[in-house]
Amino acid sequence: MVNFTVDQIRNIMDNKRNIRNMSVIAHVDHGKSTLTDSLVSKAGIIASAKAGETRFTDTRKDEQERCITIKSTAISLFYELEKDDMKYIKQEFDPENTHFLINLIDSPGHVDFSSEVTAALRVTDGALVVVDCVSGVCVQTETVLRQAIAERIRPVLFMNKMDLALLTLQLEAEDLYQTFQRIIENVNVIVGTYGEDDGPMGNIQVDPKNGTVGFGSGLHGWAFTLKDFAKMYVGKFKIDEASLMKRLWGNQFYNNKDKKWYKEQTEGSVRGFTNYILKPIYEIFNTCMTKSKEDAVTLVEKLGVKLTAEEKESEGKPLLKTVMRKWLPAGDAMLQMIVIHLPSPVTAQKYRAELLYEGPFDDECCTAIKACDPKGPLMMYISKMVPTSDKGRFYAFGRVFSGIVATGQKVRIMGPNYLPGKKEDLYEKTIQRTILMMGRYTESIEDVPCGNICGLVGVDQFLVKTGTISTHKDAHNMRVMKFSVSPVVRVAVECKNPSELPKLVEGLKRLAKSDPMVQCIIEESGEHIIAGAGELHLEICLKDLEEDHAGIPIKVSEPVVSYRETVSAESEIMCLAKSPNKHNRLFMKAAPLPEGCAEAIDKGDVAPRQEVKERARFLSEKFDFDVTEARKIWCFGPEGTGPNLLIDCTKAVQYLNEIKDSVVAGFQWATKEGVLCEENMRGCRFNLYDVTLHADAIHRGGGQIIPTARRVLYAAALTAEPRLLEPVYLVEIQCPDQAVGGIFGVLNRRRGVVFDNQQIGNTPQITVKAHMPVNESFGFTADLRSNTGGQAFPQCVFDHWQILPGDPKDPATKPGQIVIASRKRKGLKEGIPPLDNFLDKL
Amino acid sequence: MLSTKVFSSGDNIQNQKILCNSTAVHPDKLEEVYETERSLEWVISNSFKKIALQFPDDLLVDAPTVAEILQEKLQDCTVFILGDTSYGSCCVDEVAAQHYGADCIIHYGHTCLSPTSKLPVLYIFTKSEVDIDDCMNQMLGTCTEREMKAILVCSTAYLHAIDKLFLKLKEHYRNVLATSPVTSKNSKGNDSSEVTVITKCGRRIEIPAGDCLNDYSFIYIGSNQGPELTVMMMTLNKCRFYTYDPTERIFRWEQVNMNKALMKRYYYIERAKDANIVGIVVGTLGVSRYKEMIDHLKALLKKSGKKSYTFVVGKLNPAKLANFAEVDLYVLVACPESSLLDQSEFFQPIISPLELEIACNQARQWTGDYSLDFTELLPGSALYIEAPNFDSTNDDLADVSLINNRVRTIGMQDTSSLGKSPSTDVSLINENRSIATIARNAGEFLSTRSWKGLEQKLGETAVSLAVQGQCGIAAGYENEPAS
Repeated sequence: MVNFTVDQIRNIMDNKRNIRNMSVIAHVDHGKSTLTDSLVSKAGIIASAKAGETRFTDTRKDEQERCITIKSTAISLFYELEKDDMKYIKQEFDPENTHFLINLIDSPGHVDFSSEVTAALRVTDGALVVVDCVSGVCVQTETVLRQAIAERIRPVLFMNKMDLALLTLQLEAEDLYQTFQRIIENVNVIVGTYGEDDGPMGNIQVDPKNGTVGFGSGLHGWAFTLKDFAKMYVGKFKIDEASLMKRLWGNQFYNNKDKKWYKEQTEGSVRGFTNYILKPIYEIFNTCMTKSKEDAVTLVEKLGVKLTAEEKESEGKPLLKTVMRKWLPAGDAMLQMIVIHLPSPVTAQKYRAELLYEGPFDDECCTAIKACDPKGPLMMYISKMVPTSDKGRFYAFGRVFSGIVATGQKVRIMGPNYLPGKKEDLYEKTIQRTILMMGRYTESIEDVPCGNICGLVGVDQFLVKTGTISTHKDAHNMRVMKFSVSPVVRVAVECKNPSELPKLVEGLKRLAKSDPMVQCIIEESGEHIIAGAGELHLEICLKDLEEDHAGIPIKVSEPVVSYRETVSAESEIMCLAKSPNKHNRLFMKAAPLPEGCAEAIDKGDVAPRQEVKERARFLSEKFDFDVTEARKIWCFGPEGTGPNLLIDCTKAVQYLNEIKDSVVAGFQWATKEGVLCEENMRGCRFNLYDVTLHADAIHRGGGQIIPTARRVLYAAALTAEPRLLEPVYLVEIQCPDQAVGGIFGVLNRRRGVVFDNQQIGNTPQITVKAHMPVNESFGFTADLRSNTGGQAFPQCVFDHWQILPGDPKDPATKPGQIVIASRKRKGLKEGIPPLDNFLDKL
Repeated sequence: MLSTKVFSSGDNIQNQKILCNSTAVHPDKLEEVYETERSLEWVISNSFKKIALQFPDDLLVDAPTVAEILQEKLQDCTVFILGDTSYGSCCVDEVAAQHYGADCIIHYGHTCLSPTSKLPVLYIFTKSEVDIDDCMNQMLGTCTEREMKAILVCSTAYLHAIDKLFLKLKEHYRNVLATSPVTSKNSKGNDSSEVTVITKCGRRIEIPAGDCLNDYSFIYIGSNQGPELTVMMMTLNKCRFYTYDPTERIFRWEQVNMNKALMKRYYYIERAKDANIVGIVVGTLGVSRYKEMIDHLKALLKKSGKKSYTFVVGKLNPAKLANFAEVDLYVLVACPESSLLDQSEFFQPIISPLELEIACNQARQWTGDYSLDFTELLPGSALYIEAPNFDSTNDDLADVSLINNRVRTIGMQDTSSLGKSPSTDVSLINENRSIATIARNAGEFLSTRSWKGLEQKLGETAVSLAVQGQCGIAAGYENEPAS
């Protein structure tokens, strides 16, 4: 632990080339927080008064109780690199300054809290990917790694839980090497799949030979990279460190007789990694665990590790831990790897600027971000809100990309809907205080220069979850974050007493701020809905709402899933609706969008603001659209961006332009509240074929057209074999192979479809992958555990929408029942309104 | 007629028909139902000369007969029937009556008992039959608690039976109280130390001092589908309601979750906070102080930084209100019974003045108390709270909308400094100063529309010869195949 005054920290902050912003990411239970703890205890910067307390990054009571990280937490570390090692730094560095400031963010591993990871990645430039070497690369490892690469975050890898591999699984050295090799390959496959081949980051594959892979045990507090061992053997082999590192991994075999390295294993030669790295470690393990204390002490002293008298008294595991920790201290190896291989803000912002900034890449702000220029205009991205002890108020937590943010500075606060030159979502306020966030503690600081992470006081009210802070009047927004999970599980909350409604509403507003992902909305039915990524996420949100944000007893409904309405065929008839005054007619048909088209709209490959011709070409090439029709897309909906299209297929209709706004308004309305049960529509195209209009403008105003457009859209949907879409989870379960039977049973009962079932290497562990409707997932974890004797632990992440087979108009079918239940919940009239409500006859 | 059910969505507005009693009241019963004797007495004693008769749609069949009887007896007076009213038939249509210079109105049928301002009114409630014994029997079966505190309320058509019913009830339930309608005659209460007088929903309730109204159950005699019951239940949302519907002969405990209904209204309050442009719809010309209310709302909206426009459209329907797409939300100034509309067909939400007050008046808190009677919100009335001026430097005015999860502000925002650089170079003029996507007034909205008026498009549209258009009526032109 290093003690610093705020002034000292502030001084290091100015050396932007000596800053590393990094996040620790991994699958749940792969040991991030434990590893982080061992780094913090080595090098954590905290104010002197707070030294001595532990568990820094799990700041909440429930996090410590459940042993699971829920919120991402930032902590600063200090590291001094040896002068000799400075030459390993491949980026621009200051040869005179060996002091490094590392801002580390520990993130949650459970999929339900993936949004916290996204927020952490945005403000960092590098990622320490932790993989449990026993269970290997898991679904969440892949998800977070993919996100990191998409954000242009450079990864380094850490193989955790080596103690487990040696003590529990008792793997042979060669097997362990193969396991490592396989995990590294898996990681590099992901990196290769999602990374840009000749991207600006260069080669970002991890390789032990370069020192970008660490090995060790977070729990026991030891770790090493090949560099550490190369250093030890330099004397023996008489070649320099960097060349020796290359010999210590892969198919490099040393023949002790002729003292030569071979590419293939021949008689009498041994693999460099197993012989020179694993062998000594195995020996220590063996000696400490099975042999006498004296043997152990002798061996240890040979390694040059000095034990205190007290430590010499211990035996077995405690002794092993002490020895390993003293021999290969985790902090040194890890921090060295981080400092050498992860980019500084100067390096990273050069290639990240264009991904981060929405505006032109040559304007003043973007230039300043690229250069990480403290003299440029202030550009800061707020990635999340952190609750303060003052109820209902938050610290706005984020990263300064250019300029300097200071207490008392007047800044522009730009929300996600701000557009340059407009006033919406723009506020001009003074920053009350700039603070350093250090785990559980905060410290005031006068100002913070670019390249650093900090918190702001006094801007929280003008931002919901994220936003951009700038001093430049023409600054564009920094791009909003894309989450890998969607809020598909919803509950309705109610206060017990109507007079407490304002407290509930206030609580919901606070909850909406405190979590990057949760959605709190009031629906038209009056229900207060909380939507989250999964059951665990909702559980935590509800607990926070009841105990902190609202502080009143709350009634919670059963979890419900949000559905989407779609069509599965073209309308069987041409649908006609007449306006209330009967003078105007709209003729329309509905049809499903081609497969993949709705997803392309979700992803933004097809978007409302695209250039019309370019979009039409894309649609016709990819989805077989008629080019002329594709050029006449009137709008997307709902909300102007949703995955439904309104297409003008009319020929030479007079005054059509005049009613376009009204038809579009009706389309937005109808796609937001579908005809079946007022859920959003998805994956439908509506073709407007013909229009008859009254010759006088007064008789074809919005009042006549908007309700008529809605009616004809409803009629078109009803005649096009309407269907319900339900959300489907991708489920990944790891378990020992004898428990697989139980898993299949549970999945079967819950309409799950297994599509992958693999053994992990040569371990008895099995990974099962399946698709399962979200609706069937409630209580899944508990069910699975009881059916497998607690050996299986699932991770569920939203994957896609799927048609629920059956006609929703028939109350006997499953979708029919969902429609009935949904209408009842929303207080709508029983039964889907009949077609003749919407369809007029000529 | 307006559908006013709030608990379920109403019928499709296109298919609505006017409900009429097909059979006229038997001549022998005319006197009893329409109380012609009482009407005559009232007219003669006040020496009115021009008498307007206002009938609701369902009683129109009897209108000529009643008018004839009155005219016969009042030779020196003019008696005439008012035409279709612009607003709810429960309200007295003073404006229509004044068109003919009437000096009094006799209002027939169901009424919301909203106070009027200009003309003297005689309410004839048109008696309907109620089977008191059946009601008592069913009630004894449902309410076994003999000590229960209850208040008896009758729909106007059954008011004639309230005394008889009350006496019967008293035999079985000790703590039953009766109510009387508030008409101009008895509007002044005799407040004494023993009783507290409460006026709610046009009824005078006298409860023993020290008792709380929320402890009482209500026994309502009248249609269990009508708007009157809904209004009462919303207003007295903490009380339990029993209803007896004399036409259906059903006595029951209304178990509708008022909490849910109130939460639904709260959704509209949230929408109101989001709205930038609010339309004030005039839904009455009869209820007293409606002009004051409109001015009050205008002032309130201005204070809270919203733009308001006033609309007078006669009877409301979706087509009329959807013509003004720039309006985010309407507030309806009308009598309580026509205030709760079925909104499913309307393009924009329609809220009541109290809801707008809760949204815009910082000093007013949502307490769960609800009122649809806008006169209670005006200065000098029970629920009046003065709206404070907004302090633009107060950061608390910004909050998160729970409709779209965006930040919004209430109050006049000083936007003049925004869009300008906080640094020194003020000389630069922002070139792409275009209109915000969320309009702050109708002008801004119109300029965002894709269609901005007739364009000549010279050379772009092909010239075509005139062709024969449609003939006949719009519901089905002659050249269209008959259905």
